[in-house]
Amino acid sequence: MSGNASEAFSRAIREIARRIGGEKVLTDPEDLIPYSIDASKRFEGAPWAVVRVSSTEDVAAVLEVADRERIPVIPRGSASCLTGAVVAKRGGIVIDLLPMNRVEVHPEDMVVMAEAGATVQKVDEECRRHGLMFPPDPASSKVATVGGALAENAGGIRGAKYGVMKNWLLALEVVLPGGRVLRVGEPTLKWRWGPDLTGLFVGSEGWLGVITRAWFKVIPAPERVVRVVGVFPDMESAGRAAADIRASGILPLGLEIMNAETLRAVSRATGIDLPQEGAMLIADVDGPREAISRLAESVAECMRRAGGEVMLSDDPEEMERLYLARKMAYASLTRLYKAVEIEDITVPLSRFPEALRRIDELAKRYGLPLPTFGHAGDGNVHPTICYDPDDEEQVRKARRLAEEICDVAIELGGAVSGEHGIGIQKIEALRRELRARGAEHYLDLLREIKRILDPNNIMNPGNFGL
Amino acid sequence: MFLAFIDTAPAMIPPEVELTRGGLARGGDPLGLGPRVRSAWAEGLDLPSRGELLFYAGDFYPVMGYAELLLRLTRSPLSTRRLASLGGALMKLGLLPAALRIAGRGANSRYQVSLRKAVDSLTKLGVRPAILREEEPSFGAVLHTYGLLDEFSEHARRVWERFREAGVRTIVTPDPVAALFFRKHYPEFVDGWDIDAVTWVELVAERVASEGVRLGPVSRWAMRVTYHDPCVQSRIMGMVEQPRFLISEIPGVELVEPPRRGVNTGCSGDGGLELVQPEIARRLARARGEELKNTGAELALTSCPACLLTLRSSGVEMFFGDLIDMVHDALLSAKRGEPREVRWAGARRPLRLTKPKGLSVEGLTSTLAEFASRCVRCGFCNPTCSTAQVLDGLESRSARGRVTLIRAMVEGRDLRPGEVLDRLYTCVLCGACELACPAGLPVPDMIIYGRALAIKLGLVEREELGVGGGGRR
Repeated sequence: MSGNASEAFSRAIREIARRIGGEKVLTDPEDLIPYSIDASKRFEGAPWAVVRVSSTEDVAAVLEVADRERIPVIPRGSASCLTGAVVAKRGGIVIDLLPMNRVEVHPEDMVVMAEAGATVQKVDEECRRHGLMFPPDPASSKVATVGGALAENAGGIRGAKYGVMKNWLLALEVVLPGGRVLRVGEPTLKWRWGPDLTGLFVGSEGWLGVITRAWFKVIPAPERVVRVVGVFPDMESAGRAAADIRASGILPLGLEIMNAETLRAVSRATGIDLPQEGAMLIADVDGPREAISRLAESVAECMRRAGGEVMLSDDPEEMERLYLARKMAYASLTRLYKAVEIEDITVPLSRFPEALRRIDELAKRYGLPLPTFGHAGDGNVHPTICYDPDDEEQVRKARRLAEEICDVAIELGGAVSGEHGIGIQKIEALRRELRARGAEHYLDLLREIKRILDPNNIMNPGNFGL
Repeated sequence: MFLAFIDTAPAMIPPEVELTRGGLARGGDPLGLGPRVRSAWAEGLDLPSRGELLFYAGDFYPVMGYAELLLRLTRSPLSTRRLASLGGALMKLGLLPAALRIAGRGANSRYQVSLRKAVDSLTKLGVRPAILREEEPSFGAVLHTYGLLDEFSEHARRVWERFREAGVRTIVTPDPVAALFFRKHYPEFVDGWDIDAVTWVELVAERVASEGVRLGPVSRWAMRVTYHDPCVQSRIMGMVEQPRFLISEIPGVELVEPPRRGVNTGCSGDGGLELVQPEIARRLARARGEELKNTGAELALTSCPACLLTLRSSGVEMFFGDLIDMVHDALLSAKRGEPREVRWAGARRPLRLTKPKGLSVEGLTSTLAEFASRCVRCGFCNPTCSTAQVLDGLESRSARGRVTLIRAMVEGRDLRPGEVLDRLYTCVLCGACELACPAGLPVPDMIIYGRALAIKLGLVEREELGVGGGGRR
């Protein structure tokens, strides 16, 4: 911090403490360092202060003062993001939204209101009490907050059928720099005063304003779920089975795929007995009691046709066991390798088998372990680069491999990030994707929009390279 | 001699910790009450004073009533810290133990009674253990817990010698924390440690099954009970089914479970926290007490003296009892039946050891650096963290935040060791984070080694600054 900036910061932090209460403001280095990371393991940056807000008014006070004093502000939930999106790249104030975690279900309206700091799992749990379900379920839903999941437009296992956060959003409360509280949309199943600006904040990764509350539509929880698991000779045939299932007119709740490298890693790390070659596909089918076995059997048939050996179950314990391989995938890799970087590309469904084949070729060419798993139902796959961070050659290879994986997505007409976001990690990849689509000016447009809402560029500067 | 020992204490250790450390040095237990008070529970028992199987009362059971009194005092207008500072001075003069001995006798009797019932239950099941009476050593929980590892390591070696002199091969203890120490921390710190340890619950459950004992009804007890799993017993040592087996064997007693149970149990605010962070400990105890009460049970049972202490002091209007007392009553009216073979999932599970590579600054740094580098920073530990739950997820006092702080400390970042220690001291060592960690990091062990390192770095810093004793930064 320069002398002037340092003075402005002290002035700002004193005023914030006076207005919202000193106990909500942390400035000890021993409190700030824990706020310097996210789950990327690559990017770090300690803020100058952390403000633990408990109301929209608190957020407004912080944004009013910070905007006046030109201090960067980084909104933060559980910091489980994988791209460096919430690290304080240029210092500033981290707004910790975890204390804002209320959830209100309105079962007769089929709507749930959640504050930004509530976890996605808590929202779903509250809905379940009323026989309802909140469909988005990122793998990190235990920790991922509503604010963070919206700012990253997170997806999840059930994304195959139910899509991502934006598909369920009705209305938002956002605090803008300067402290203005903006309300977009209505908590009704329909409304239209367009254009729909809720979408402006979805996926914005904290560089336009601070999401404080959101209203979502919810649906009745499925009556029955059956899990169908197929083991295939290779990834491509598993990918074909996935495409065949989709083409047969069945929309599985989730459709998860894993390659042999992943299966072997889970076996090695956990001792679970799994096939060591080929690939695995896990399909969850939901539906009414009367129809469920017919639907499950159709899915099983698609798998058999593609050369799969099939097991199915609706017993919760057996279902859990069948799912263990997928659930333990990331954990197993972190136990086996010193550095694990999870990629997140997405391609059109029809190109999914080809994407899998090309990822496989890349793995062979680079000679680095590349366990690959993901959501075959929506074309989103996570090739996970494992390497030794102390070996310079491997680090270089890993970076280059990450670029090539993104290029596969770009060439096949897909996107460099399906659900994890851009942050710092994917800035270059996003630029390449935009260039390939002849849309380089997209980032300029974003800059202009940002200038309108955040003229002093205090909101999470550095994300997206903005 | 003990005075000299106290005076070498690094000044950054908070007075509350100093108090228990002084107590241990002075009287052999955290409150400094002395062997006579500690062994009072065993008066008149006709049991051998050496033998292969030892009944070990542990540091807490014999004096828990006195700790209850002390905890009540800390809620007086005197703050804990002021009381502890005062207590430290009184401890040095031997006045605090004397005062506690007189005032706390009444409150202590129920813990003593539980110990006698624990022994009597064993003899009724055909197990006749030795007891060491005044010779029973403390297992040094406070030294290890608060990160005073050089002293712990020395203490643990002396304890081993004491046990060997008494011919001990296996220890049975009603205190799950003591069992954990003998099964995990002693093997970590004492080379050649070869004594086995089981908990009272574990052994009694096994004997009831293998001897074909049919427990009798317990008319004077509540019929609807709930059970609070001590974290050490259930989550860390894997004993979830054994206490439930015992309760289910008693005719007419219905067990209602709280939402957080078994390996996912909730903390009642002990783990050393009630001393150094009483505010947080109280919030945890209150929340857990309410949760147990909301089960609709008339009585909450548990199997850990520290949990009993915190729950009984939580202010929640409910009866909190020791499983020992109920099982003992059921044994009084027990009948003989057919032996049964029962297998429990976590029975005598070997525990993972985390031996530090030495206790010097270098040894601790290198041990911690290796673990910290494996943290994937996902934060999956945080929502399970007991203290984070009552602090709205405050990162610097949650599991991932503490690991991040430890990594910063071993990387030599500019931090104040005393302030790091303060954050690390908020951990209750409940092990929930370890269970949630995808990378399988032994977070509670890291916290202990982190505390030890912070204390040592504090000493180094003070020497460099040329500062003498006294004064906490």
